[in-house]
Amino acid sequence: MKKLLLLIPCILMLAGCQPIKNKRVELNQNAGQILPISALAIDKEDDLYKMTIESIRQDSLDGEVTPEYFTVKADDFSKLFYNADMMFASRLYLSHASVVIISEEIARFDIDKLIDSLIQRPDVRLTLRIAVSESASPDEILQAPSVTDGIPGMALSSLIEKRTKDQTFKDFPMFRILDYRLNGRDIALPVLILSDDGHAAPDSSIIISKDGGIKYA
Amino acid sequence: MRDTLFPRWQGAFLAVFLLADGLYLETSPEYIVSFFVSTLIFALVTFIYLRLLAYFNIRDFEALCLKIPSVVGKPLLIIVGVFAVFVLILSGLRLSKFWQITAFPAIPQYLSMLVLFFVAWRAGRRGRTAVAMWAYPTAYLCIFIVLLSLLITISNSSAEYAMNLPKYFSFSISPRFLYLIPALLLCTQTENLPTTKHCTIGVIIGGLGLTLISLRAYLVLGLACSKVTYPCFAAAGVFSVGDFLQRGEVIFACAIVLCEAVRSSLMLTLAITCFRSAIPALRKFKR
Repeated sequence: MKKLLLLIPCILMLAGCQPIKNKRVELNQNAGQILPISALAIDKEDDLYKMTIESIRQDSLDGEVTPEYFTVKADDFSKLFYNADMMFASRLYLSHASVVIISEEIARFDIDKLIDSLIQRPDVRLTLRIAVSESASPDEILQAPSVTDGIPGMALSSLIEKRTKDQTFKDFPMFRILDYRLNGRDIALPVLILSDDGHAAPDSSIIISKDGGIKYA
Repeated sequence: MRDTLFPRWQGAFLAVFLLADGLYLETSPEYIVSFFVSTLIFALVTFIYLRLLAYFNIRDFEALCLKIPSVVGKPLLIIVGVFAVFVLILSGLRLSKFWQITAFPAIPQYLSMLVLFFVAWRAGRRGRTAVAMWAYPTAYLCIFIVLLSLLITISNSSAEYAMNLPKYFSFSISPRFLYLIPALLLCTQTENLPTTKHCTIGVIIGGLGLTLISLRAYLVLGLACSKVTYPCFAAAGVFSVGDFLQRGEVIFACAIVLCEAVRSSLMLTLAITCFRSAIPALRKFKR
């Protein structure tokens, strides 16, 4: 009987919503489902950051997945992720995200702030890769149809992974970028372009120094 | 009746006790060196302590406290008991914080602490013999997972950082190892005189495990360690074997959490033993 009585407070605690200081976590944890994200594209327009989010939907019974795109804007990266979290009934889940496409301007001057914001999220993987768009905006690259007929963001991630293995691109996952930046060393990011037939394609690498200077390799 | 811990169980206990720190380690070169130095020093302390007990024909710390005048022995037992409770609470705090930050942000910290204490109480109430019996296979499992995790991530390590390590050599002791003292005092309990071999090996395995976990995080993440909340945990997840084996840090964390559960159970049993030995009135209560 005593043991059963001990269980009562435990059950009561499981049933109730707890007040949490972090409003973002509170709202979204209670929102129910999570929204898996496969890739992000971030650009800068009129002093505002614009983030296009590629989410994965699996509504059909045959298990087919389709991408959905949403856009949010804010004046800094933390607010950008906060706005994205607040936009949906589901919680943004970045654990499956493997690539972030950014513009050259962000790569040169704001990459440290971007990584700081990403690393604050416990669901972001340290192996996330950051690529730079050239000759097209990051969201155009992200939404370009995949040759393999899959989710464009995942196809891009797979493309970068393969090009890294065959050493077309230098291996710079997020944790290495962070390490190199803290050491004051140059980083090399893969460059993606839109090909003539409208597909995203690898181009070269962009080498960015600590002061924002660039050269292509 | 006194609990009996076989020597191998004692060694496993000490290894698991140390490995439970594996998720929260500091990763700067100075700390890595201090973990290594502390391993050697505490292995020596363990060896000398057990040798002295055997030399003076004393089975363990509890027997020592009962031999010396009770004015000194009883307060000593109570101090060790309070220290064991402190270590137990510390384990609860750090594990619940880890869970909240990494895996279960919606679960309040006190609830996950209660879960850990419940597990510790259920395991600990059966006595140190039962906990130690489970510590033995747990030690093998955890050592296997930690070694596997280290081997898989070795290709991501930076040789440049490894070359710099000797520059940081100094004879500093990590405060984390001080928590080993209460465990050492009371887990080396046997009906015969204590043996030195297994406990010393246990401390060496646990200490080297911590050193390697911390070293791996430093070699893989480099200065990025300073920006990550749990670098040792994060460094375990930088590899993936295709789509099959991803999120290696989760498997790594599960092994360490298992060690934390064993450590908490041990601390609870130590506290109970100390308080029951020091305060005879408590002996009439069942565990």
